[in-house]
Amino acid sequence: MQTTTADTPVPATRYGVLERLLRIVWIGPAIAALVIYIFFVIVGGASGFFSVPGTAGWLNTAAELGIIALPIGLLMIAGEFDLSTGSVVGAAAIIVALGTGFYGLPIELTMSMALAMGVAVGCFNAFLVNATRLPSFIVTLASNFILAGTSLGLSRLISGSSNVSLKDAGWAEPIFGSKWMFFNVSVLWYLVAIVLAAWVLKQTRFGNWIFATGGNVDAARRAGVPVARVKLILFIWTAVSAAFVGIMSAVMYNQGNAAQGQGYVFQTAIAAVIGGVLLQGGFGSVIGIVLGTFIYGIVSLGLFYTGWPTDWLATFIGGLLVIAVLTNNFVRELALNRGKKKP
Amino acid sequence: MGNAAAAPVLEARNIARHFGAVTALADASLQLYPREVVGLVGDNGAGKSTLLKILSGIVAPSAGEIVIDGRPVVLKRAQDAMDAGIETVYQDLALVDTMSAYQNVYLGREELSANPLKRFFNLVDDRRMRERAREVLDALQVKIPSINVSVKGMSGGQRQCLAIARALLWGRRIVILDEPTAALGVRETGQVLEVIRDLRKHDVSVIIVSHNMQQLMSVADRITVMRLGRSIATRTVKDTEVNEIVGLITGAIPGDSPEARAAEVAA
Repeated sequence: MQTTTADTPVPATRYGVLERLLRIVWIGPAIAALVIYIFFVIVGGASGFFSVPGTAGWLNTAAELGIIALPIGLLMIAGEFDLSTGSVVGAAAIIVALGTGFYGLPIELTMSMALAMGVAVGCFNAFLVNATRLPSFIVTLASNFILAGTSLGLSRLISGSSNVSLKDAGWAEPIFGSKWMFFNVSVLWYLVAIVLAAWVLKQTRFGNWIFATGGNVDAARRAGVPVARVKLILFIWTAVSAAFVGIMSAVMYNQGNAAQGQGYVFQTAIAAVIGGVLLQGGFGSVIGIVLGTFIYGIVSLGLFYTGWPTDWLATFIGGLLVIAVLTNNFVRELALNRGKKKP
Repeated sequence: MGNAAAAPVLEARNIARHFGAVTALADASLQLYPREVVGLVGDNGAGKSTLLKILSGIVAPSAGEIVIDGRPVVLKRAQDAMDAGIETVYQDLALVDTMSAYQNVYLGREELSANPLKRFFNLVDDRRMRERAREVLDALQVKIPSINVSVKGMSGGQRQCLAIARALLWGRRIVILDEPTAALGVRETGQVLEVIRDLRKHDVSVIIVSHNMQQLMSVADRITVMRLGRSIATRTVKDTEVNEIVGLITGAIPGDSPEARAAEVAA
């Protein structure tokens, strides 16, 4: 709030417009998204990047990524990490496809089973992290492998294949699989996820606790913040979101594959980091994460429209990641030192 | 000034703590009266930190009794001590760098909005927290650039003052300060000492551990000296001087209690 600086004992320093802009937490990803977007509009606009299908293309990508990237980002702000989302996506998809497509169980039952699996994975991760104090990087890497192997093995054991079709998802079809023009319904779900994450992080006590847990876990604990519970809720939120995306993809593409979804493991983390979330925790914003997913979507779809070989996508994303981390460090220093008197 | 006529707000009676065969604290007693600042001094290993940890609920005593407002209390966890009205301010653990001053002050007990609808959605009342935080900081005359700015860029003194202000805002009545000025410059030290003096006006009693005798003489009402795990003497600052306190610390001047003298003989 701007008015508050007026009545503090020390007169507030006046900043120029440019400097003020630089102090907005998500200004880095915002500028990056804009530059990259304009770049692809110029280079790939002629072949249709700047059209409804082109726009729908990158938004769809951003949405499916973002539903998981948002809780991943919050988890990273709280100082933890989750590499198990990939397997949760695959496991959720195969649960729904096997249950409903193979055994003919009602879709609401198999969906609940998939979400329950998400809750279980989240609890498992959080329990191990809280009880053993092991880095979540290792714990969730392990659970990613355990779950990936289990769903592949079970799927092959039950149906003889890792790929199970899901022909009729009943009432779930319009909710998870419908399209409007070229936009998947996942874009709407992403909007819901954004509002939820923004509300939690910016407006609630829990949001404050997320920042505190990642910023200084000892201070947070001493101030009475239930650090273990904060992590538990975020791990569950992440895994349930991943399960949600798995369900959605099974319904949308009429099939489930136990091995699908591994791409999310790093893509979500990349989107969060490009979006300005600090890997060590304590810093980040929902708008930033959303912009990070936009950047990821724009680059992966935009490259396709430029007509260049898409083999280079990973190179491009990797380079972007390095640039993002460097600029974000710079912007973060500015944002955190806001109000500090200049020497 | 300390009010010796009133009952003590905090009393530690014959506290001992053994870690296996090692005696960290043999017999320590301490009284803290309303609106009083008590300095706790002693050489390294005299048992000051163990006593502080016991009073903040981090370490359980092996023997002895802690009495708050005339009632014996058992402090098993840090939360118990906080619930009993004791806040311990540590130098480095206190604040979250990446959060703003008012968020730090309110961390762990953020205020919810008064609006029932907003309350239903668990919304915090940022504006009210800002206002209250500023009131408390003004009352203690803590000067910081802005309460909306992350504390990362603030000086050690400002951070220390914020941590103390938090104790006040949370209604603590006893504040324990462990070397509050150890890493601070002269001007900053002055600021922190001023805030400590101001705490009296707000009905807060203070226990302060420090190695800086001059400083303690300027801010404390009484000084309790510890040696070899025992509290051996307590002096009123008005009636003593640095030399006597230093003598008591080093053992050049014998302590008051018979136990302390017994310890000397044994040593």
